[in-house]
Amino acid sequence: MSGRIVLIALLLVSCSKNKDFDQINVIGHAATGLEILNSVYHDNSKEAVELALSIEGCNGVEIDIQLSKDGTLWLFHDDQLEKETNGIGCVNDLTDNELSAIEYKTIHTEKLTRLKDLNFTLFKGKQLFLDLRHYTACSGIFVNVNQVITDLNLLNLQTITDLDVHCILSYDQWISPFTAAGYKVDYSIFNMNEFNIFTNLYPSVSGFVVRNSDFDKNEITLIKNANKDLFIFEIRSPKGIRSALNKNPDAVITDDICATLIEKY
Amino acid sequence: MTRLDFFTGFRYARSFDKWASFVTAEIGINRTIFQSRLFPKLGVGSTYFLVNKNKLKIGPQLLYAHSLLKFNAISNHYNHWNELYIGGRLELGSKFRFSFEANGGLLNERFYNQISKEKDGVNSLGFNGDIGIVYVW
Repeated sequence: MSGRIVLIALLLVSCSKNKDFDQINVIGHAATGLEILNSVYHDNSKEAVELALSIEGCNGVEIDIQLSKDGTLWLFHDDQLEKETNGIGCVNDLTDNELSAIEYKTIHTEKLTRLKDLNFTLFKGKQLFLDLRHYTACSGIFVNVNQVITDLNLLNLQTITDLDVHCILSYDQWISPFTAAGYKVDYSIFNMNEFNIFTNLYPSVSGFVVRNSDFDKNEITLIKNANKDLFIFEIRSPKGIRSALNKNPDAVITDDICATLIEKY
Repeated sequence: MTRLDFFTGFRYARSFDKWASFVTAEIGINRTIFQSRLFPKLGVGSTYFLVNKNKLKIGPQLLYAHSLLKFNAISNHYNHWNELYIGGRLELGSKFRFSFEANGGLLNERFYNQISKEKDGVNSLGFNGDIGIVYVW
């Protein structure tokens, strides 16, 4: 008898309908999630990007971008290479040849990926968020913004049909050069005070990227009412995913695409 | 893709001297309970008890399990996982026993690729740990 009750309860919870979150895009954080223990591929690898884009219902990826010594853009998240790869030092201090030889310490030994080596034909109808690093961790100096924009321009991303490119910045001095170059800029903020400051100082900023825990639903509504795009990141657990979706952002940048799709649909 | 979950369920085993063959039926708690999406897993396998005493059994085992989950409820496509693991099992007790096991091996995932519009697959390594209570007929 008790077994039947458990079975019926399971069926009931398994069939309950989620809210309608159709308008909210699902974006893979660092492709298939950042620092996910059981991820098939390492974050920010070409393989992870292609896997994320292939998941039914995934609307795009966010990737972390750093400039090499030769002035080209590479996908890598951490400040230093040692922890996750067989390389030593910082991306900014190594040449393209040196970076090409570096592999992640994973069973698939994915190679470090240059931004231009991604297959952009896979991005048709998708969103691409480029989280651009503005400093060099090893030497502590700022990256030359013109070099970043020059290498980005070489990719002609804006000419790719049906690709929605967003540049995520966290250094205000980079906002004007990027908007002047014609890129959509989304700025990382941590509270409403920063939202008010950056909206007034930089009206060209098209959207904001926020941590789920830093903003409540009312604040998200205020930002969206100001005609700014709003993207929420730092969401991993089902509870966190549900809370982010309930705030009705334009997209969630999630560390668990599959759990997010379950909550969305 | 991420599939980490805690599974709960039943196992039925038949013993033939040192061999025990078993079938399992489980559900993933996180997906089924906390995300309201049924996540079943069925498995078969066999254990060879190198130590086969009344109150202590220890041995290696081989098992295969299949699980499936639909991420996108409005889609017709399921994700399928095939696991082929080797591991070890320990049983303590006589009529009522506590069991412990650890397994690892190949994990294959099949899914619908929204770009190629075809079934696709990735291979990786997987592992699981299991704690159970056994009743012996």
